[in-house]
Amino acid sequence: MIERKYLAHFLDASFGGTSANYVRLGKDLEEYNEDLSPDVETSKNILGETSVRHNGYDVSADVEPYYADYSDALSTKLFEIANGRKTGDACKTTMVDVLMSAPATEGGTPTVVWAYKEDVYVIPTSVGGDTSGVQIPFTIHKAGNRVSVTWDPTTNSISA
Amino acid sequence: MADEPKKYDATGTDILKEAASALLNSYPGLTESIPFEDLAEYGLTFSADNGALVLTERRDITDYVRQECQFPFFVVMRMSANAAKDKAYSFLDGLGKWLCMEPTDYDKPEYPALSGNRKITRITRQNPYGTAPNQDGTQDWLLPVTINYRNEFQL
Repeated sequence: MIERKYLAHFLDASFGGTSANYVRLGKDLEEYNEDLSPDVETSKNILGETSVRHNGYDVSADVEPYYADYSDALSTKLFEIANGRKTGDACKTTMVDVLMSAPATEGGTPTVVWAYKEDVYVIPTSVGGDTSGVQIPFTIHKAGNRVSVTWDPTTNSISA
Repeated sequence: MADEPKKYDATGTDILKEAASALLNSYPGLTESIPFEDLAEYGLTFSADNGALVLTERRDITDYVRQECQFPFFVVMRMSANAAKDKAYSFLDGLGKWLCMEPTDYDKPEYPALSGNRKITRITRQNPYGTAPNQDGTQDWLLPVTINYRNEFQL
């Protein structure tokens, strides 16, 4: 079994800035699932033969709760999108999903098993929350262009 | 009804004991110190039976843990059973109000910083009450207080 902490999700908080600023998602999240939502049609003809048509995936993931912080680059961007009621490419950035394996020695750096970068749209779903703190949860809509990349776990960035 | 503790914050017990001592002894209405579990014939002390308790624990997908904890304790005022009971009640009630940041004649307390990633979030109390008089003619008055704090750490 793979420990959950070894599957990491990084969002570029620069949103297309000159240099990417990948921040790891997961703080306060007890669960994070990418819902693949496969579009599959199954039909059976009069001969009893079954045919399956798979039209692809509509991948999205909810990040809730997400507690805002003054010094957090992603919070700043989320507020910018929400306050400006921004749409389209203003909400577009990239995300990298990374599967790692446990480091060979205690305290060492985990080894990257695979890493994939994909375009995403980040849409805040609400602003506010309860007395525990200001929350700005959001939904990540994956927009394709998924490519394998080389990930540097020491700098949390894509290696050239 | 009080929440059932999940487990004990063993390291936190000493840290909270120290913080409670610092906080209690900074009460402006104090005429004598409040030591920990050291009670003479008359006077003040505070006592914690349970230590620091972990009420809830949340572990996120990066293995960062957030615990909501409590450190319950009693402030004990021992006095003669014949003494004016109003005095004990009003002293402990005033102390309780001050600890819980309710309006008093004094400035609100500054909760002490805790070591590690622990932080006091709130202090609550019950009303003071007197126990049955002791055989030596003294009587204990108790103020139950609970320090709520958050503890965070990376596994």
